[in-house]
Amino acid sequence: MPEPVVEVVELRKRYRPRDPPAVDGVSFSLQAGQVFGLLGPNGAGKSSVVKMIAGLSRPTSGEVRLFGASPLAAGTRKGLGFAPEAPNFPKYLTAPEVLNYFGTLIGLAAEERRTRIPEALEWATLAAERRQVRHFSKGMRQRLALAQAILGRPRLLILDEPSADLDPLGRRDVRTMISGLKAQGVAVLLNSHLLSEVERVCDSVAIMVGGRLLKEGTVDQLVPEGKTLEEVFVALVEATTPGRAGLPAFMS
Amino acid sequence: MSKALAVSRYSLLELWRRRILLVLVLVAVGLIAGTGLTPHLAPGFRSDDDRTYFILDTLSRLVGLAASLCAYAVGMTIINHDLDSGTAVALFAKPVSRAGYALGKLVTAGGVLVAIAALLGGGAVLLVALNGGGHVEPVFWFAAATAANIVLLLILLMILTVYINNIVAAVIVFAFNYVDGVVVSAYTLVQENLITSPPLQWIVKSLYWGLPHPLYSDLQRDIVRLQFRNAPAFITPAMKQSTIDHTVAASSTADVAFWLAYLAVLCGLLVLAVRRKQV
Repeated sequence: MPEPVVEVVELRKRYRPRDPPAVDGVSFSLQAGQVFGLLGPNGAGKSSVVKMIAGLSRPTSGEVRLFGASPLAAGTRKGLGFAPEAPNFPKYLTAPEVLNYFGTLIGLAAEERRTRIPEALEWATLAAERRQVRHFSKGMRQRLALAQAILGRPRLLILDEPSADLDPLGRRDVRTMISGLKAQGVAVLLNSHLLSEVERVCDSVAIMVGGRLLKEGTVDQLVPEGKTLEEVFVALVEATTPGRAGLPAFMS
Repeated sequence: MSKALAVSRYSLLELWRRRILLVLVLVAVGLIAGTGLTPHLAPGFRSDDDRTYFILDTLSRLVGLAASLCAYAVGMTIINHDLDSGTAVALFAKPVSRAGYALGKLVTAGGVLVAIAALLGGGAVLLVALNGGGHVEPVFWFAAATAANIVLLLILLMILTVYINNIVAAVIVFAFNYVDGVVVSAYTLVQENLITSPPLQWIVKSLYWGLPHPLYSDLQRDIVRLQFRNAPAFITPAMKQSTIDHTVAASSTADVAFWLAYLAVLCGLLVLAVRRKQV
């Protein structure tokens, strides 16, 4: 079996000693060409896991191996493309400048940047955009985030809520992109609340609640015949976090 | 190295487009020009000494204030905007080392501030030269000391903004700067044997050599001397000398060496702060 693109072993993250752990003993691995969905309600710890994989924060304990090495070393992240949740960029730069900046950080040669940047902007429907990023809508920033994430032709693409601010066309483009990258052997880690999207594009999913990984498997393994991923997800989350239903007392 | 240069280049582009620095510098240059014209246009300046005193005194305040404001404008935002807006999340996931990022930011911020200090200081030197030229050297060293001081202030701000809100950081640095000024004044009194209590001397010296204190030129003493040229007769030479002794003198070689050491320490702390920052 080839070495996994990402391997997460007994990962724990506690931001402050007095707080409960944000991530509590999470383990999974991701192979090349696999599309893996990380699901969970708000505050489940998904973004914390993603940030540790991207080398943005350090685990309290446990280990993350990205391409067989620590993601905290800058060189390891060369094969990583990351589109963060609620993305933001230097706000006084234009979209081509952001991509040129990030392309240089990825280590792309000037010639590669000259060819890739217009293509990436075209794909993100930002080719005609001349304004600075501070004038962009949320959706435009999201598309720019996706463009910069694929600019370096990553071996692992992490998409943290990639469709949250996109219109239906944008969502379709993301699905098409994921399928295309999967066919090229790129591993994709998708962190999303849009379960119908996850169900359509992911090979396997893991459901996190309260920092723990409660279920992991292929979509077929997790979703029984006649049910949807959303139903399975809701049932699992409600079983572990009681008292969610109903309205606040002042509304009754 | 090319990655640090990219950070530096695009940070410079952002600073340029934010315009606030441009506005601050243009206002300061306008005020410097106005300082040169005022003694020739306004009534009440009876002698060359009056004019020189006015120009030196105003320039020393103006250049220092404008340079400090620019340092606050740069230091409060150059790293904090990336961290606060979430830009750092996308940036730090790239294969760029945090040290390279910090270095790129430092080169831009420091370079811009030294250039601004050179522009304002150059304007001040030119103005003094055009008005007789008797104090060009202390004004030059004053500009050099201002550049050195704002660079330390800048790095201190940059370090704090990695951890805390940039306005709180600015307030802390402002308060620190004030305390630092008091310590330097007290140290001057110790040097001139005007503070004689050994424990007090020890405390002042410890604070002076423990904190990153600002550098000074002889400009302040020159200003005081000019002030006394037309002083009333009841002010005796002894009183004049005492006042001059109370005024901060030019920094020594040891002060400059200390500044360099603190610069190295603060640069190291900045890199460490950025490296340890979890976004």
